[in-house]
Amino acid sequence: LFGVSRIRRNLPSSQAAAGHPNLSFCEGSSGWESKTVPLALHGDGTPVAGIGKAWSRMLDIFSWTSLVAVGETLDYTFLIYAAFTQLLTKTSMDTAWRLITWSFNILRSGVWPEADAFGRRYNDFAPLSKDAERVGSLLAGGYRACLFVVRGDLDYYAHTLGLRSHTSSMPCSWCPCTSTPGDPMNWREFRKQVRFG
Amino acid sequence: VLGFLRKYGRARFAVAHSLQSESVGRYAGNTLRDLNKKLGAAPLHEAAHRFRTPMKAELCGLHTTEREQTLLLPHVVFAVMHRDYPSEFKKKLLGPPAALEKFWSEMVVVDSGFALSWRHRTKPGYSQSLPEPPRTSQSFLEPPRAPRSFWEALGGSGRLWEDLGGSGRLWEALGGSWFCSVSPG
Repeated sequence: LFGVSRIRRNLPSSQAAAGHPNLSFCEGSSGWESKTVPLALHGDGTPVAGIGKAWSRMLDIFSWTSLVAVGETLDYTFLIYAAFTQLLTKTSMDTAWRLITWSFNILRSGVWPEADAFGRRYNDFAPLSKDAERVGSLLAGGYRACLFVVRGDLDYYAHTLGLRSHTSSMPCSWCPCTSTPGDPMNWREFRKQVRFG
Repeated sequence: VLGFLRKYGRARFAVAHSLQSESVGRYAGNTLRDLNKKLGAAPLHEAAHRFRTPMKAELCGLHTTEREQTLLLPHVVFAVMHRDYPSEFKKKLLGPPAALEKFWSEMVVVDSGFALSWRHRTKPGYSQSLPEPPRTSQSFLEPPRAPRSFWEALGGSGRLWEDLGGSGRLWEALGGSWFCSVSPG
């Protein structure tokens, strides 16, 4: 399709990012442009044992990168967590996600937190610890970072992030379209009588 | 995980490749040793995770479902890199000089927050520069209002549509009368 590559770049010109809480730091502050690092969080499962065999074992890997870094991918990709998919239960990732989101929230604020990921205040349960000592001080000399991109494939969005599955009857997390044949909101229906569009 | 990386496949290759330049010692390329050396200095965070017990472990009488797992928390890595590795911090997080300002300058502040603009790519008259597509039906000529609401359904406001002049050229360029024959709905 002619021009699709150019048009795709323009797709973000929608106001989907307007009022997003991850971008709230810019309101009322100045000079944040040179101190805020945009980040991407990537997650995916990859076979690491028995590749191509029935007993293949998958590893779910989560990593983050800076969106402005230049160089080899391995150089600026930072691992967060890896777990064998076969060992995960429905609640396995609860702790990991709590820690990961807590960490990214701290990065956005740019200061050391006053409580841990489970809401326990350092000054209460560990007043002599290093964590309690640095509460409220700058994390990295005034630099901070905000999560700007969540990278992954459709399987990761559906099964790990809990968004709508691309194989379900309502495949889109952005709009109420359906994939049911004959449904007025079917995304493949472009006749005049349909409601979608 | 470390044992696994040592023993198996692609992951081992990737890790070995990343450590290749720094591998020193009696046996160059000893991935496990190099990785341990690296992770030994890394700010690791331990937390209990609930896991399914492997069948073999269950047969051995182990029924523990909560295991301590290690995470490299992004904010700790960020802080440690800034404190202990300033040159790496600049190179791997801040990017080239003025890259941050350049990134954010491609954003435009709107009343309610932020919207990406990519102004340098959305030039006025952009739609006019697209070639004429072959016209196959009358419905193709109708300037569709529907695609605009299509954008709205996607969470946008039709801003791109306005930037492109509000004509049907974008959809024509997308190559299908099936796009342009959408009714206003």
